[in-house]
Amino acid sequence: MGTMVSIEVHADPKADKAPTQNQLKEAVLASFDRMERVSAQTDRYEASGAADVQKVAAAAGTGRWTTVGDDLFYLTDQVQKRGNLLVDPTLGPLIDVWDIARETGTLPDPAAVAAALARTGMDKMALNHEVPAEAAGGQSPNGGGIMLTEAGMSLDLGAVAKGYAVEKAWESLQASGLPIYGIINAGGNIKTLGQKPDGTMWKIGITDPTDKTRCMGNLLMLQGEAVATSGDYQKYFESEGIRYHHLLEPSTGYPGMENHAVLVVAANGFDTDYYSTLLFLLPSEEALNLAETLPEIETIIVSRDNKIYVSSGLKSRIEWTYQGGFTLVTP
Amino acid sequence: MSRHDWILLAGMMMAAALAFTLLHWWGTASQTEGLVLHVAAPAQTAAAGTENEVLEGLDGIRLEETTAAALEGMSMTRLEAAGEERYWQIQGAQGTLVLHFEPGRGIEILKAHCPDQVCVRTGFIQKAGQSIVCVPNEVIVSLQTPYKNTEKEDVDAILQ
Amino acid sequence: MPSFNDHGRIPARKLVLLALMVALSMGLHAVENMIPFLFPMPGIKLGLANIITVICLYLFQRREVLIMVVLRVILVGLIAGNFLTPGFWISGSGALISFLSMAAACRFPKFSSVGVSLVGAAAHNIGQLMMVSLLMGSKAVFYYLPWLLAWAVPMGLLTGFSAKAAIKALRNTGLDDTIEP
Ligand SMILES: [Zn+2]
Repeated sequence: MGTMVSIEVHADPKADKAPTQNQLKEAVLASFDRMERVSAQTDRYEASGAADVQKVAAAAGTGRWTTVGDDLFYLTDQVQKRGNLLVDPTLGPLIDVWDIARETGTLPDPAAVAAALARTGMDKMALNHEVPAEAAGGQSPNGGGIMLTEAGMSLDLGAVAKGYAVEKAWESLQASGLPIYGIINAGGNIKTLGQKPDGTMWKIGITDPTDKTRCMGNLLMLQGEAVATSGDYQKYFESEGIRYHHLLEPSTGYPGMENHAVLVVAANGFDTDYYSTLLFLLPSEEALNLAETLPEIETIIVSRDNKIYVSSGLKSRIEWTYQGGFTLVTP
Repeated sequence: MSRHDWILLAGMMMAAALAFTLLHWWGTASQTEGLVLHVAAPAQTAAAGTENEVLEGLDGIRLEETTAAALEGMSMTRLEAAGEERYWQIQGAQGTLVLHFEPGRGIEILKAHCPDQVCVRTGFIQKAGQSIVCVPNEVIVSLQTPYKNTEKEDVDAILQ
Repeated sequence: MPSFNDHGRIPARKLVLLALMVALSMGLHAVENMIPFLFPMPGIKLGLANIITVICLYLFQRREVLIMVVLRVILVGLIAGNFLTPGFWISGSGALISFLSMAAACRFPKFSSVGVSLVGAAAHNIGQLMMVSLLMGSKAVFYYLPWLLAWAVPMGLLTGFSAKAAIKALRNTGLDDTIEP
């Protein structure tokens, strides 16, 4: 998954039949395996080059369909169906340019950004649930077929894969049927499982975007709820005092400069990851307004001009400890 | 065997015994609580942005996780749990490894993608200075005495 | 240059013996690769091939033994498929450091081949541990030093007595006549 994933599970003391140590272990290992299956399809940095996304990129511009696994097909299909151009799964070439920039600590050549940008776009990605059997090498795919129409294109599911993987890991733990509670933490993506025996809500610390070692407060979470953050502090480099981070604006090819961080709470891990990316790239107030119209999500937005916006459903669920240099805006 | 061979033999046995004694004394003198768990893993891809994942803080029961701050742009995370069973999946050179923390027993590598499985068979470690090594994956898990104080925060997890 | 003839070539008999020694040591090296789990540390090996190194130190010149050790490490690495991987570097450093210490110990006539082997076994394990530590960038692995030192005693005795017997047998056959004038 790129990042370290942690799963914490406990047997529910109130359960009639406590699970054995081995049952717990097996359930956790199975859910790790489930996440690995996601990353085997979506990790375009996979060293062996065998990930489905890498095969899709290799076939870009050849006019051939690449059959991909169910997870990758679902993710691309979902993102395309939702249709918001700010969350674009075809940003691979652009991300490559910024990866090099981050490694070398120097701003990329605008011409290189423009050239990479020309090789992105969801309109150049074709999906087909029913790939002709001859294209699929004689076997029918369990996922579907993906084709990138121009050479040099590549997929990057970084904006949604982790949240989706956390969701799948959670489903796998649920499917074990064991009386357990716990938490899955993949860095910027978290999902809670079951209820704590003392009946209290799950407490999630919110990182200060300007000082990652500090927490601004605690977010109280219900059982089975997911949360994700997109922040300019997660992966970045600085040049002339400006922080260039990994959340790229698909229309300009440059990092989005509206916000410091956006946290999204939802029942589904995929939604949290998708919307945290989307809202991050919107102007703060527009992002908040959009979130308020969507019943499935709640959000906290920390804007570039140091304001914190909280959606109505979350206000009573945050225990602020300190707000650093930020001011809390209550619209 | 010459007389000097015997002297050498005795010397080596004494050195080994001395090292054992020192280690035992060091291992038991240092608490099994308040230790810091270090995980050194190989360099990751550019995408991950993490070069070294370091887990810190096995407080007997308390665990804390830190992504090495030496890397540009990587965030520090702290995760805490009290007396709780915990699993991590980390990326090694050949594949993933699953670490497992069990209260009262310590930390083990539960599963690893490596041909020899030596790391898995090492079992639990729980004392200062102990380590589990997976050579094929270039991963070292070790328990060390803490080099800095960490304040405890009463949360279930931290969103990075 | 007593062991080389006028054209700088190694005499055929000696060459054959050297090649035989390389082959034997490769065999031993390969055998111990098959022993999976004796130490709590992966990659660390017993050092059975040291038997051949000791024998050769008494029969050949140091430079020739060095060539033999390097050849063995590379060839086994290629055959075992771990050439230039961590496992290769670990066994390579163990073999090389134990060769260097044994070559030094040989110069003290007060040590018999058993003493030389003991030095070699200890150096072999320390060398491997140093490489593991280097590869991993961590000193934590020296936790295993006492175990490895303790293991070096029986291993040193084993290689020492085996080498002693072999050297004696070789000298009795007169095979070594052509080796060291
Ligand atoms: Zn291993």
